[in-house]
Amino acid sequence: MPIIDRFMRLVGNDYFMLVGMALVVFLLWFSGRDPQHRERNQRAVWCALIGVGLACAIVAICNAFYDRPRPFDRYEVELLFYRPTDPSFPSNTAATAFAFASGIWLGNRTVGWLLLLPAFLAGFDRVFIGVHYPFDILGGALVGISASLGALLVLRIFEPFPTWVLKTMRKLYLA
Amino acid sequence: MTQLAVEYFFLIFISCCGVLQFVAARRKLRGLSFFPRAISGYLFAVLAIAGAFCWFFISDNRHVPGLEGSEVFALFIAGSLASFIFTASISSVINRKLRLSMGQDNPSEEPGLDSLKRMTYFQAIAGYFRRKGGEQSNP
Repeated sequence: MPIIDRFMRLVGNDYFMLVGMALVVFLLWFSGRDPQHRERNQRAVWCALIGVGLACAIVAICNAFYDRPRPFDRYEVELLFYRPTDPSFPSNTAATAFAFASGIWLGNRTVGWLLLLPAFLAGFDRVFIGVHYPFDILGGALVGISASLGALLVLRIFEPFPTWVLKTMRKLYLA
Repeated sequence: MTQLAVEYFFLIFISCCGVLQFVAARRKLRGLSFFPRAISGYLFAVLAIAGAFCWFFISDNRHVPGLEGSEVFALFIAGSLASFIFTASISSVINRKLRLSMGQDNPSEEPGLDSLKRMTYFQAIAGYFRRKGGEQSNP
């Protein structure tokens, strides 16, 4: 159906879903019932951002060692998108979306669950528009979740540096 | 590529301005708000975010290879920082008499975003440096 195809093209776009999720994360930075709750949210934002960075690095390393062709290279598919030239496995979009969602989930369950919905939709969408296999999405999701757990570990290892950064930002009225 | 980068930057900048007005309206941060009434802040937020997305996705074909992941990330950070600086500057000018109407500082209050309920960002920063200067002259 053309309307579903158009919707899926929009959702699968390089910018639409990830910018939407990033705006929710930006909103979360300033949100919280009280200063303690806000600080928890801000730590979750740190975790998500570091997680996204780690996820992109893991995807780049995987791509350097394993070049899986895209579905449209092997099969006749009705492609709804442009032809990406990077390897298919793991999905970079899924890795980023799941790193965002799971990083936030570690600090704020409600918003984390909320962000997991667009992450799942973005993953499904990339298969629907013909640029990934389902296993690429699964791999990307695992990379994203592992990266956010790694980010949590990084934040704990580098403590009290994150606390000092947050305190300084609070003094400058940025947090 | 450069045009796409500039347009993407403005998508982020305008959307983040909308988010900041939503935050200012929701948390009653009068020092960060462009509007005296919360409803105007919410309306601005919806129009800014929806308008920026519509403009970005309708104005050109976005289903083409474009920015790299690292460029997208860097432009998001730049756009969100620019939106905060813009919002803080404009709201500080609009609400420059806010502190006079809200009374004096509470020295026991912790600094942070909540201080922007009763003073503008520039007033808050000026107060911070005044206090810091006072601490250094009276150790």
